[in-house]
Amino acid sequence: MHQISIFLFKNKRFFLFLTLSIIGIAITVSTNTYHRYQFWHSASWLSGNIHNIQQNIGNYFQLKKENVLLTADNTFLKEQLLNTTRANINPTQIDFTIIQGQTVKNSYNLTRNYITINIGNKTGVSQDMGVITNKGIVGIIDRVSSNFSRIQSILNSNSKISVQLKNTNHLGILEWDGTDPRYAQIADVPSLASININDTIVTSGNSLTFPRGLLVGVVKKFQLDDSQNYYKIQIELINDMTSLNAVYVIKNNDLEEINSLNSANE
Amino acid sequence: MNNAIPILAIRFLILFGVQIFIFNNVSILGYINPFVYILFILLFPLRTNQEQFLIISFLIGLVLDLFMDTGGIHATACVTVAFLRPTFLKIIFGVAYDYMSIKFDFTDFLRKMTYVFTLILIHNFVVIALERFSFSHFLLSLWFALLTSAVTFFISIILLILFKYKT
Repeated sequence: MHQISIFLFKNKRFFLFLTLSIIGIAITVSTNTYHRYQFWHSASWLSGNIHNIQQNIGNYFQLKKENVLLTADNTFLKEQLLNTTRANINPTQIDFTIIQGQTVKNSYNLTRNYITINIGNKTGVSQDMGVITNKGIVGIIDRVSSNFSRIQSILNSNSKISVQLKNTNHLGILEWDGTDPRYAQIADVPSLASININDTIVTSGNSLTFPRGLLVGVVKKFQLDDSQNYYKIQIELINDMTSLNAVYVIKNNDLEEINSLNSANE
Repeated sequence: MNNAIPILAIRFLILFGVQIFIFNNVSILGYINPFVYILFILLFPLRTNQEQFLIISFLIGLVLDLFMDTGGIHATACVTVAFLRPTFLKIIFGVAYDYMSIKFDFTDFLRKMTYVFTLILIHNFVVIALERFSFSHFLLSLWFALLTSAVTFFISIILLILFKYKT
């Protein structure tokens, strides 16, 4: 026993290093197991607010560009409104509600990217809601504090989102290989599907997170995988993930009802 | 040591401000993200208690992880650099550094550069190895680490020349 304690004391620097490294790696790994990782993220109070200040300064320089986008968005919505008859819209029966927010922190050069936005619990955001921009999908809410929330970006190697080919309705899974923020990959599209370059990819509506038919990207390259049964597709994302500002969080109002149905089944 | 603490605090604030506000938003060629904050550990006073130094490095890494959503990657990398620092000091500057017979400021340029570059390389290698967490793209990761180190090194040298540092 005495020998051991002397040995430990002599090499205390090494053992301290070992302990700290193990703690560090443990934190890194537990980040991916989702639930244990409660407070150490960019949606926390301290880093959220600092990123917010930074974004406030940055926003000032993008006002002009944002205005152009907003007007374009407005025109599009006006157009839809005019083309819908009044009777069609019943405010008590809306399937999806939209919550508007701003990104305060965006990242796209890591393998697992997260985006922080300036809305949280207080405005009704909760985990697993989908996030889009006026062009296409961004990711899924992963963690929420009272004033901020964190999005698991589609540029995250853990991200898996159900998508489909717009023309043929064949399903696939949207993934990212961690290299180029302009492109993403789709796996598990059956080889029976007929694919062409520049085909549009949209969300499938299978996951309850996103409504059906939101734009994701266009096919740039495709080939059969090793098993010859499925396609591996390279798509160009419609969103420029490197410059995000205004985002919309989609709240599925039917979620509770569907979930209760599912749990009743089990 | 006592009058070193304000200097360290100021250096910490500046380096982390620069890292979080500027370099975290920079990505040269689309994926190179320089980690200049590591200079804080490289320039940390030589005569500190080594155990204290390890713990401080760990906490510093953890602060950056909080801002980057990277779990504990930077904490681990910083601890590794802090642990290996004495070894490399010995190899590069000779045994004498222990007794402070050489002033860190006046040692020749080439040795200083070697010291800074090796430790930056180690830091980036650990960061990228942990971030990717697999051997499937080993060569690509190695190339990433090398490029990032080169850029970080270049910026660090500019910073070191601009602000003549004291240890």
